[in-house]
Amino acid sequence: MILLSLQGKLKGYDPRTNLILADCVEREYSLDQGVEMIPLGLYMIKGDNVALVAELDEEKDSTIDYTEIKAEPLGEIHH
Amino acid sequence: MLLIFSFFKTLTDQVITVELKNDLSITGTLKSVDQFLNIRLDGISVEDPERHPHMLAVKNCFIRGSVVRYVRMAARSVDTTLLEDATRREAKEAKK
Repeated sequence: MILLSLQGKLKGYDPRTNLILADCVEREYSLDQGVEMIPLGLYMIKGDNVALVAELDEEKDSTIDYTEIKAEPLGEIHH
Repeated sequence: MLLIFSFFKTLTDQVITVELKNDLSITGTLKSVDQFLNIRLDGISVEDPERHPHMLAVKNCFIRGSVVRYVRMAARSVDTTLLEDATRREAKEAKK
């Protein structure tokens, strides 16, 4: 399973954690450059592929300079 | 599975650490757990924020039960005798 770090507006979900995310932005982390924000649009995500859902603290998020953050991408989930 | 679910429910409002199957460890207050062992954590922090800055702007989260590897909790929050009894009872029920 590839782990994507997606940001978007949660438009819907169900008991299987299937998600509908509007205005998605992928946050691509890498070690050699800052976080790359890639706009993706509307996504429907099958629950099996979801690891974690978290509410973004927009106030705190706006204080972080993501162009300066270098980190390895989140590891794959090995079941 | 029902037993584990009930056990996790007794941990509500305690601080636990959840280790995910991708080695990310998240500490926070357990707010709720459901039948799939999905976990809701409040006031979270990651074990190694230098290596995992992905959760910096996040205060609470929902972790899908299927990606949890371990849940760590304080030893004092576990009533071992009660759990032993419950597992034996469950095993007995299963045999019937």
